[in-house]
Amino acid sequence: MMALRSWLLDPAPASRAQARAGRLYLTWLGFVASPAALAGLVIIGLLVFCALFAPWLATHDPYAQNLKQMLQAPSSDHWLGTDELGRDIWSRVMYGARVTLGIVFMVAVLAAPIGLLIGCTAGYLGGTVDRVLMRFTDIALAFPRLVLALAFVAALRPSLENAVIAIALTAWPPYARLARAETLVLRNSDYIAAVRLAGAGPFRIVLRQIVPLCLPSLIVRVTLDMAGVILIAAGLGFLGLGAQPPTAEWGAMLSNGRDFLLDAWWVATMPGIAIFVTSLGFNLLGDGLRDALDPRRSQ
Amino acid sequence: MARMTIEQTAGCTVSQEESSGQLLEVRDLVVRFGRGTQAVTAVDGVSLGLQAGESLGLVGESGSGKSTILRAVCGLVPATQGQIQVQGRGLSQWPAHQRARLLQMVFQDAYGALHPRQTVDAQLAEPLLLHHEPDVDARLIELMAQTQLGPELRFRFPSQLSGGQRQRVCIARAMALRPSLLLLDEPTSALDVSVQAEVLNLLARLKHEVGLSCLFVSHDLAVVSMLCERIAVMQAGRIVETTTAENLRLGRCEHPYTASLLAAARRHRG
Amino acid sequence: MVNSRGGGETARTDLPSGPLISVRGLSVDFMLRQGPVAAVRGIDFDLGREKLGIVGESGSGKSVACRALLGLVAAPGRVRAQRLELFGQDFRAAEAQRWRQIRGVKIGLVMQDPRYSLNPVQTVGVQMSEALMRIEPTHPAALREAGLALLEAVKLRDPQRVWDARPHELSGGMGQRVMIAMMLAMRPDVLIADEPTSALDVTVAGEILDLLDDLVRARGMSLILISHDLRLVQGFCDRVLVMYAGRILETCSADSLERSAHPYTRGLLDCVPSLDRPRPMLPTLQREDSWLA
Repeated sequence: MMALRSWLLDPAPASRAQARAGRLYLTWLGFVASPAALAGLVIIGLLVFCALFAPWLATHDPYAQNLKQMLQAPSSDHWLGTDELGRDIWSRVMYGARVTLGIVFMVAVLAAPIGLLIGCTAGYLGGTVDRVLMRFTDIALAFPRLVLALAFVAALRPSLENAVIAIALTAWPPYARLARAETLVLRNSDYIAAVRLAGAGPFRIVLRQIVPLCLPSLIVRVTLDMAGVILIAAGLGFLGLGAQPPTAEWGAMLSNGRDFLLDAWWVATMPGIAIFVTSLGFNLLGDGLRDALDPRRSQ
Repeated sequence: MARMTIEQTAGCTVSQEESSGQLLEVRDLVVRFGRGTQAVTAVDGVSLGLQAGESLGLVGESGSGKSTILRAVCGLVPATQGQIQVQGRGLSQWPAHQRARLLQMVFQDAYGALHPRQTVDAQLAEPLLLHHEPDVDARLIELMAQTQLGPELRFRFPSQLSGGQRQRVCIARAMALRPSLLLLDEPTSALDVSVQAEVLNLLARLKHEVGLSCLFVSHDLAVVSMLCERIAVMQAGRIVETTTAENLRLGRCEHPYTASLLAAARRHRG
Repeated sequence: MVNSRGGGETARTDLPSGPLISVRGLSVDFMLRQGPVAAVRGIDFDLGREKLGIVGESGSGKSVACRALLGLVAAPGRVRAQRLELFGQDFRAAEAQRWRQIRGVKIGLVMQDPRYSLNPVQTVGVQMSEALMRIEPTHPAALREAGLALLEAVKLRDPQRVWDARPHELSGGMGQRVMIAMMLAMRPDVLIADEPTSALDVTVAGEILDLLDDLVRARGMSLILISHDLRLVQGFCDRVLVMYAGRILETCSADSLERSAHPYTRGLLDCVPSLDRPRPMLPTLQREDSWLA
């Protein structure tokens, strides 16, 4: 352990990999210095764990209905109780973690790179390209997410995939604006001038020099947005526009539990708590990342 | 490269063939920023010439336009009027790739001139990769040795280097493509005197070994006179006098502004 | 307190006899993630009614030492000293309240780059009024009058325009004069100038130094000038401390600096390019490990 630590903190690294690993380690140390950030990481870690090991963590089949056991309070048999169709809520929450993680991942993978590339290109090239791209971004920014989801449903069928696409389509514009703002500042730097003098073309400069510098703030922004994405997916599920029954999605579960809130509060509250804790986790993680990745902090 | 084009310069005719030995020629350069009433004329009609192997110093206060001239010469800033010719051809006629092998620049703030998230290795390799250098590794090691950068610095990030080391990395990067002309924008202003001495020695050595030409901008007459044979004094965007280090040493100057610079420099040095 | 211009030093009758600042064994450590870093390692010096120069390269600890004199070393920095007497009072364990009575009031600080020391969104007038309010709260017109008088004292040609301008609209030299004026408002007994001319051109630097000299003489202040430029300090100060790696290597009067035998001081003196002594290669500083001890 000590050998690894001294290898990472070696003042004379012997390769780019070692240098990058060392830098990552220092960033990690800065990150774990904050208890809140660590809590966020633990929560998200738990989410991933539950999603990956849902089949083993679940006590029952999430889709198995048992009307004789419907609306049972939490007990040793059913840790979080049962819903109106007798399905075990704990198992459905575990499998719901997969759905939630999938939504978050897909939106991040779709929206972030698009926003980053559009923003960096617009910021670096400037002029007409900038104007066109930014007007396009403004149009996309003007779409309210729920209305777009409704439009998709009207055009196609309501499904989780379409909900994800709808969310991703409206999530990228803020990332584009963020990347463009960062690029506008960075493109006047002397190191960009030096690479230009060496004969590098604009695409090489944007991809290899500017994008890596925009990544930290983008990562922070995406992480903080994840909480909102989960809530929107839950909202769409609540409206019946996202995950369709019998898929165990937390928002849909919350919607089903509405009718039983007074008698069987656990049906709505348990998935609600799961949504709350996950959103909190992403917020704390995002905050922690922002503090750790802040370039103004001394190493 | 001997094209017979006749150019008119301020009434006298200079044939292209004659000036083919000129590495750099700047004629009536004007650089203006902004438009209309908000326009600022940073460079107001500057002409200068540099032969291969020669070094010219540009001295003046902040705002005199000397840094802007450097940026215009390497194409980072567009010239509003005037001509810039490198090895007999107009600057804009050189494709970027070939221009990179002709002139390079060393900036004042070494920290701002290095990419904060790339190792020294990556930054020195970039120009070599762009120009398809056959053995990047060997050339990189050669560059680091030439600028006296120890091998332990190779994979460090700029934030892990001292001011002098950063400036040497910048010089190594500039020398990577073996340019004929090196533009230096106050390279030692931000450095301690001891580190400045090392960097100046390095530049003197490079001049001697490689036959490098320099266009050296500074506000320090003593620094400039160490490396440059000729010195041009600038004030408010114009060159008011071109002289030699020897003349300055003997206190011979024609323009009153040069005299005031000399007096300040002498007094500053105790 | 008598203020007279020109002539000899003004006699201050309200100061304690003996040195104004007396420091023994001052050490400052920074507890960083990678381990502790000793920025200042046990230095001793006194400041009387004189102009003291502290010279050293970056990292020598000169700025940190002077920040310690103002109680401006914050965590993760830690200040220890056997003696830290300011105006005859022990400040080793002083609380924030006592530091506030000294900082800016009895010891003033002028820093290197006025662009970073002044608030960029407020006009100079607003910032100076704020400083002046601390001494004597009064109505804005009186504050403006006092402020303009201070701006004239630092020889700004157009005080009205400067009063209404924002820091980025001023040149480096003007900004520095504004900083000095703000510091003068408090009438401190000691002025610490941390590289006040490093960001300025050589002609402007000369003017600022002349200004500091006049002010110091007229108001009977003592001055600590921190710089990396030995020649500058040699021409301006009475006494010089040469610092390296957190220690004071040499203390001598400015006149005897030229004859110094210490290899580090000699190295610093010789490595500066000079118009009168042209050399193809400059002698570089050879650092001895013994200096790090």
